[in-house]
Amino acid sequence: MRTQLRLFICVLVVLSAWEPGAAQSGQIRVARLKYGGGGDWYANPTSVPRLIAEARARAGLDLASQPDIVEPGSPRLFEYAVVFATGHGRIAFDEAERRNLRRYLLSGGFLHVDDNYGLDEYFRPEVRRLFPDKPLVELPYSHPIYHCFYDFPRGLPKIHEHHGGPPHGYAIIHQGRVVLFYSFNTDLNDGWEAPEVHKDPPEVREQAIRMGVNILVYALTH
Amino acid sequence: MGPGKLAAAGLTLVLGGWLVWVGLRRLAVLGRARLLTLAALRGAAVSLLALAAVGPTWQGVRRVSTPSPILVAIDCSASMDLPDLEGGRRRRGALSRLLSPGGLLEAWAARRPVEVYRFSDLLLPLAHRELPRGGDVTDLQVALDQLRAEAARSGAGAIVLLTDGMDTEGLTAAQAAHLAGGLPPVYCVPVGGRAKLANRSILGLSFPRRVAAGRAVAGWAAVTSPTEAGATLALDWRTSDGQRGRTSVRLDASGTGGGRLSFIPSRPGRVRLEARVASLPGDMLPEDDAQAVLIEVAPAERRVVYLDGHPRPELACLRRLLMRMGELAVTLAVRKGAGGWWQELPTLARLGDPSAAHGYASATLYVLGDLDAGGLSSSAIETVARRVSSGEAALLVLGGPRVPRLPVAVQRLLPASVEEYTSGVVTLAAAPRGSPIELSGRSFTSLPALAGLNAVGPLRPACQVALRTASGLPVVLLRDDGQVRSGFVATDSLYRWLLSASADEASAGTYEALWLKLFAWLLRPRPPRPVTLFASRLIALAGEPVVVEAEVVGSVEAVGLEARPEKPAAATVKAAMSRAGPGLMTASLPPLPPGRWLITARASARGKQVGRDELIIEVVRQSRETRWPGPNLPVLAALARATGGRLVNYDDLPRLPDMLARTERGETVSYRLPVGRGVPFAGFLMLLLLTDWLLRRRWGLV
Repeated sequence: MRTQLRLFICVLVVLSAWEPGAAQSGQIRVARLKYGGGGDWYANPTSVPRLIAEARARAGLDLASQPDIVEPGSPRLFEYAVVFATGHGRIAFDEAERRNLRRYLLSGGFLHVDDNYGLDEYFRPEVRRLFPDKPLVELPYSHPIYHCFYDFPRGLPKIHEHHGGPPHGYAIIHQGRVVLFYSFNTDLNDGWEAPEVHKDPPEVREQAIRMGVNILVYALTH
Repeated sequence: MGPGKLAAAGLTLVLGGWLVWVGLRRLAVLGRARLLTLAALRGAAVSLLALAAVGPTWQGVRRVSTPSPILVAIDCSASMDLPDLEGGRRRRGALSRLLSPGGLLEAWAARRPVEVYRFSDLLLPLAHRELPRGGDVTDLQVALDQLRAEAARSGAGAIVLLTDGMDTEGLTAAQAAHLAGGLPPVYCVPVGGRAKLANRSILGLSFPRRVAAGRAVAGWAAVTSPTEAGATLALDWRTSDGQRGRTSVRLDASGTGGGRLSFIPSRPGRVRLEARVASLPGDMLPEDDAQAVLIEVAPAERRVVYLDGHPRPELACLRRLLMRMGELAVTLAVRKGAGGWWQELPTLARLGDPSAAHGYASATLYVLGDLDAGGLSSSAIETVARRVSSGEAALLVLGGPRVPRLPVAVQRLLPASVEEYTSGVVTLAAAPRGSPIELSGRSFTSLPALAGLNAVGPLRPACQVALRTASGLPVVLLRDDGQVRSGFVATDSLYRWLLSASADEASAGTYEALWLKLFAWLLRPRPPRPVTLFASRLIALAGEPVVVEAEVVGSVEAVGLEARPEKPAAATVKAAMSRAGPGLMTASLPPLPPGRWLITARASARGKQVGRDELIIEVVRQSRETRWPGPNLPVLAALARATGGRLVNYDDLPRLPDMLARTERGETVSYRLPVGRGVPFAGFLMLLLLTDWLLRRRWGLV
């Protein structure tokens, strides 16, 4: 069963990778980050397409329906208004990737990183190397990312229980704008996936979708 | 000679012939002396009969003298309706009593010829013994000129003027004395009392002409109410931008007072402020209970209102740039699909309609990003179209797939019509020399390619292409026709200059420089209008001149003024403004009929029109002469004294004919006296015939 699931995920990833130019005229393209280090960057393969579909319907975002896959060191990174990253394991960038990703984020790009359990201990050191001059700060509940489309008066919703404690939203802020949003201890991607994958309750999935729409709207308006 | 006279002449001949035949027969009997006597008698009788038959007349002339007539002129203007006589009686009632059957004028007419006239703006004979209501205007000069002509015609010995002496034009005593030349003695009967009139009135509003939006403006209203000395009145005011308020005015012992009005104009443009006091019961002139002024409101800050049809990278990048432009106040609203409109800046909040966004109605620049007609409400469109077309704000439209479906009212303000969006690689050429956004040729050509472009139609007049693609297609278009200032950026992917693998510091700098130059061009100060009209009283009373002032820039040589009625019943009035000081011209239009009047000023220089401005003045029905009680004694006394007449109290009117100088008018009369007619003539004829009979009897001839 586990093997079949991995095979299914690989097929979906390959299919989505085949149509990088599928965006129609004027549409905004988003991508999933294919990072190095050995972590499963391809986890939750249906999450971003489903989030895109919901965001198009709810917030009128003119997004291409399928996300592309992009590597952090690729020049194509700059073609995407928003890039998503998730996984359970190690994440690491080499120096060229770090430089490219940093430039992308400082010149107007946006990266959402979602800890799918096990990512946190690798990601935090990597962020410090990526932005040695900018701390990863926890956003207050009043931050626009929690209110720009849907209201989240208590910050990030809790989607999937991996270990106890509340969820946290951290960010790298450049010139007043969040350029990297890191959601920890919530697993938004689980909630974005098709219902049958994780069998989360509808109200929990709704909270995840809503927070995802907020992230996209924030990235495209700030 | 008629048939009657022929018959008489024939009869006379027959009779004469018979007498001669009889005489000749008796000649032998009578003797010559007796015969001659009878012949003389009968010859005289026949001659008289012949005279009677022919009927000649005697013509002559003689001089006769009659008493000269009195001309009585009665004021029937609107001021005769004032109830300022004792017991609150109206002036018109007092005058009507004179005209009633058996009244004073009939008594005068029994003693001297009397001609009666009425006057307001014209002098007319009073055909019926009723005093009609005249016009709102009293023109004493016209009345006196016409009375002078009537007096010359009729030889009038005196004029009796029954009037309050109020002249709409404000005749002075000196002018009245000057008008007296050629008039017979004028006996002026002042009509009117000193009872205070119930009349609340706003005498005037005093406000600065130019103020800045968003800053408090204070002004002053002068109020009068003669019958309410010491009272406190409520003065209500409202502005055309929706503000209203109330202030208290305490009247002093003379019944006048002032109140301070203050408000904060919300948006640039012209604000009309109207103040009003409630009318008193029986208020003489409700029309002067309100007054209004125009105030020119200049933008206090440069506010950019940016509306975008959907969240997108262009919006995010432009937002960051706008926020760094500290001298601009920015409102950013974006349509988020089913979520409706959100105001991102200055505060994150949902909006029912983009026109509710902060400062929407006072923006100096509207930026519309990839919006279609469905994205904007009619009120939001109307505000943008009105303010941009009037030159109060500029417009910048950003390209995208939705823009071709922008509302027509906005489309027509652009440099060219916008057509479909096509995606593809778009590289730029250098901006043409002299372009408002010219940077350097290398900056544009080396930039990352754009992702797509809107096609555009032919350029409208006074438009230019500021940036083209390498293949010559317009990318940035600008328009400035002196009124409408707008721009169109035909792409939605300038953000690529920032977010691009090949981007470098130069790309980021060019992105920023292009937008800054565009904003600077669109927001650059407009030259002052060549002519700006002002009127301190936007509500004028019928019968009073309308005074208009205009501020002009240095090059303006002349300003022509035209007052056009809203309803075409009245004729258009034209006037030329005269210079009243540096940069200031003034004109006084003649009294205008009641109604709304559009006042248009056309400024010209070197024979060409260089600017125009308009304002609306409302003329309300009433005359300013009805505002003050009591007759105008100085004018009437001066007129009477200058003509040799005198002032006569109303109560002394029955004795007035005795006071008038007894003058006679001499007249030469021609007459005709008929000969051969009348009783003496017939008696004389009979006497001749009787003598003839007696002599013949004595002589035995009968």
